[in-house]
Amino acid sequence: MSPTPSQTTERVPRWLLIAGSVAIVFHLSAVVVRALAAPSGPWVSEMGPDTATPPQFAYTLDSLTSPYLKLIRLTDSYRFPSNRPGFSAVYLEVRLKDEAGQELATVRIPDEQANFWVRHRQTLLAHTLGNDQMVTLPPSELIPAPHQQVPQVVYWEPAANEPRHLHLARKSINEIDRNAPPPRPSDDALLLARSYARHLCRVHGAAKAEIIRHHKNPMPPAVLFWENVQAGAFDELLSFFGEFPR
Amino acid sequence: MKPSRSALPAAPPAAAAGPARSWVHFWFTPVDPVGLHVLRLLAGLLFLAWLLPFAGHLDSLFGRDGWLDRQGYADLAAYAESAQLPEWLRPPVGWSVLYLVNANSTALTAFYWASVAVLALFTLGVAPRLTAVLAWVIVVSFTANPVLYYPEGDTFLKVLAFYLMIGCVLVGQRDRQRLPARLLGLAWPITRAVGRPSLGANLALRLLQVHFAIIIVTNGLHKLQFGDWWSGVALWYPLHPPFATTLAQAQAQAPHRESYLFVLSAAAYAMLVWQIGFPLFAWRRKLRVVLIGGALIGWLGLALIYQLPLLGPALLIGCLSFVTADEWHRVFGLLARRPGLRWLARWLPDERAEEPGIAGIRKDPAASPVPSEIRMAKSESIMSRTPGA
Repeated sequence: MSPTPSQTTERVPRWLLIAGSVAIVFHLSAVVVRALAAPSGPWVSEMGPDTATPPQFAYTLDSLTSPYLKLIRLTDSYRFPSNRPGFSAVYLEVRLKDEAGQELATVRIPDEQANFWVRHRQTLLAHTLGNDQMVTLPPSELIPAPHQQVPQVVYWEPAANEPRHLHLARKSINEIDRNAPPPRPSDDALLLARSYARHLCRVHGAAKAEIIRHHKNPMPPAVLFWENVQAGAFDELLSFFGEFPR
Repeated sequence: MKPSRSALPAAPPAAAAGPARSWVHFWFTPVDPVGLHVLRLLAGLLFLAWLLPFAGHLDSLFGRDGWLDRQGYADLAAYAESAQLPEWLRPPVGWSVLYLVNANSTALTAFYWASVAVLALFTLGVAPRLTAVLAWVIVVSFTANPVLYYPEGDTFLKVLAFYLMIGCVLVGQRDRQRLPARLLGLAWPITRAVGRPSLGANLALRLLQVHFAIIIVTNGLHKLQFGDWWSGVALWYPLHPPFATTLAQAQAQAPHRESYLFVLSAAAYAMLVWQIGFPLFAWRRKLRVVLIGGALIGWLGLALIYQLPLLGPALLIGCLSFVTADEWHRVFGLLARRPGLRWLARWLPDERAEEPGIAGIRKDPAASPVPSEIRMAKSESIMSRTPGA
């Protein structure tokens, strides 16, 4: 193992050895604990595919060391998204409109004209809006407290006349089909969609922006063995986030 | 005693036994900082390649009215608080100097170009003690936006910047220097590359090596959570991106599907073996070809198959942190023998270290552990500078 020992005789003070060793152990332990204190999976569970919580010891220790890691900005858990195979491909189409609803411009993200590095960041933005989740249902029907309402959920609902179009809809959580919970955009995707729409409206002087997500599922390698593939099985899907004001 | 300028690492500092001795030897053996400086040069180029393409998009990417505007930040923080998100689900928002300047487009542009200038100075090795700290601040500031955060690449940038900062700050701390040099650090490669063995250089490199190994192994183990890696078809997906591949194109592989899937699965398993087994070969000199060859193949694959920028070169730089000072000298020695690259000889160990009485180490030139190609390159370089030679 390198480096090799040599013959010079420079000595390190004992206090420095001890202090340095403590600092090294603390620092690297914080890094390892952060790597462990992340959810794993999805694994097979009785409720379907689900992520598993991190081990309690790592979670507890991480809560102690995370202020240090936040300060030095080394808070990653090193479980990279690209490890997960089969991500859907996403691009965004944003229609910018004036007060009267007249279309002023259309922006596409990722922009084919942007340089490779910026286009890559635009891809990340589009993927954040493509990160759908399934609606999580409570174990049983919710009974609201007096003068309270049952919580509502926002979810993707297929359009009535367009076979591969989805629109955002809102419904009481008790009305969701328990046998087939629908997908929904993640909360941070909705926040980001609003923020990005405001940004584009400012840049283009528009009053509102309609965000449409173009989304295509990957073909599995099993297509190599399939004789007959259902027509349109891998066609593009359009999800309408709706119009956001400036 | 006059300090040795030898490229050789100094002795383990304290005589201890067993694991304690190994620990002290691993972490507290001073080494020639040449490896640290090479990494600084390469990482600096990488930081520049990362930051420069953002020119012209500063307001959109980093401005207060950008993709994630001030209202967006507030909404995100409020949501994380109200939903009581656990730490791992919280958006990766951190401190950033950009928050001080991003309200004003001119200030943001000025800060950006000042950052590019600092990274250029850091790359060149000008006042590295100061520019390394600033480079780290720049890297973490420009990676603070959670919308733009690119876990694969930005992670490595932050790790490299952090440990290079530690190394550049610590190298030469025990030298007798005037105050400006003590604060700024000696310029390199403007001055000689080869310094006296440094505890700080070893500490920074060791921390980088161990942290890098943790990242690679964690990443490899994470892949095992997905069935497609176990079945060896994980590489199928980036090779057939949905918007660029039709069903007919994908099924065109059907006639030779067995051999195609054989190659894909073998490549996927080779990746897993390289990542999970990383600590087994990373510190072994005899397996350098596995380390560096794997990093180069990885770079190629990440660029061509996954279309991921930054990660490939960052992976290679991380792997180069395992290369020892005398291995770097050997490389420089070989390169310095090529026409036009003789200037590299100035980065080789000082020949005075070979002379009795200076280092007081090697009395017998025949027993010198400095590789022959280094000595040859040195002498060729001297010859080429001699008039009439």
